[in-house]
Amino acid sequence: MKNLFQNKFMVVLIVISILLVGTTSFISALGYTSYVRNAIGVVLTPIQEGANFVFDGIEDIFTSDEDYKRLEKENKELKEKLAKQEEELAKAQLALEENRQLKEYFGIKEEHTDCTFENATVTGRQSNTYNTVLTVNKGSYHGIKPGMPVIDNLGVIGCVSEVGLTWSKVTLLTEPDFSIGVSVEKNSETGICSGSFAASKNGLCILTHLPDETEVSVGDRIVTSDSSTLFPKGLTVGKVEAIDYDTVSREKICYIKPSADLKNADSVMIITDFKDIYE
Amino acid sequence: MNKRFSLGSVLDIAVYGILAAIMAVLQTTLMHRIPVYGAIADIVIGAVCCIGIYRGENTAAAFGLFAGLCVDALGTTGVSLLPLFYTLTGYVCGRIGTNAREGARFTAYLITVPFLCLARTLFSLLNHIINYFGDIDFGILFLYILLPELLYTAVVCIPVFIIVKFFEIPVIIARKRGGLY
Repeated sequence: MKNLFQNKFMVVLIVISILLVGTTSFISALGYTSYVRNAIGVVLTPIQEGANFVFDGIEDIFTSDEDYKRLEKENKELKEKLAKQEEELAKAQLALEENRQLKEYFGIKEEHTDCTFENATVTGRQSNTYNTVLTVNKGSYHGIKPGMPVIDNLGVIGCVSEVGLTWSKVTLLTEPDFSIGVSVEKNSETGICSGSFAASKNGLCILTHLPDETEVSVGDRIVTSDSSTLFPKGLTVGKVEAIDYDTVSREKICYIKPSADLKNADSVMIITDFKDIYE
Repeated sequence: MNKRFSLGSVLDIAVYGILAAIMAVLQTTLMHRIPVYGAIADIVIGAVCCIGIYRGENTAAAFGLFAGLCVDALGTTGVSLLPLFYTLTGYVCGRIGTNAREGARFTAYLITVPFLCLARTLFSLLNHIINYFGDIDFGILFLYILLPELLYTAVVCIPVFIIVKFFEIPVIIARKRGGLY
């Protein structure tokens, strides 16, 4: 300490530094900048700015690879998120479609209070040159029996032809071994709608046994008739697509375009009970 | 004051003035980019110590004062005791250097640096108390701020020594030619 006070240069320096620290701090506390700090700042700030620029550049070089990896990871995560959202959107659309179908089913159920329905999902579709058979996920365990009508929200699909414990096979309306009693809605003239090998290739079925004088035209709606013992009355079968005349049997033959979506049906309803015919 | 002394002083002032400015710029632009456990090393203190041991207390104290003012001007607001701290540090290191043998000065530097870092830590503590009085958790302050700062500053003093010696090259050459001192 003795040496410190003998060194005049040091004493002066310490006094200056104390004064500078004191005044700078005091002025700074008042919200101003001291002249010394200001002067040094004016000179060094541009240098500081230049140095910052250089270090920014260097930092960019070192961090660019890291940034790339981070962005790559972020991109991957976003893609996964997008895929997940798309999947959810698809599910939502399916749910909407299902909701719409259920509403229509509900409409059918309300319309046919005399019927008991069992909803089923199409689990398989066996298709070959000769016939198409749908497999649904309900069977004898659920009270399904052979011959029960199968419909969708648009109309008749066919009938149950074979029943397992938890599954059933459905023969489509257009298959040659299928036939039901129907009527032309506008005049209630009855006939028989059946599958035909030739017509089924075009997705059609045929309406026969109509009286000669029956007024029928293309676009007429065909529904199940009250004379049918297999189907309840009034279910939509389809619309007349074309009309022909059989010179041998001397009767009209109408080609019916089924209203039900036979190719893409995935949810169907099996009518398990109406008018107690299965008891 | 003869002509030779004044030329030597001018060269000293120029070299150490520039070095102080560079140290301050590096302190405020580079060091915050390379923190270790959140701590930012003090590179000026190593330079002050190096100059003190090799060039004596007057040069080191003057360097410390100017460097402290530069760091203050570029990176501090409010109350700052840095210029005073560096001035005293320069004096102490200069005294150590004066007492050390010519060949043992680097060893003296290595021995002094940890103590200086400790002093720097105490100074930081004082700064925290002044600026954040009443809002300090001393356990967290020591563990997460002061201790990493102490260790990091001690490590950084080695490359700082090299930088200072590099800047002293013109002074050393001039001295060898015998023209300035």
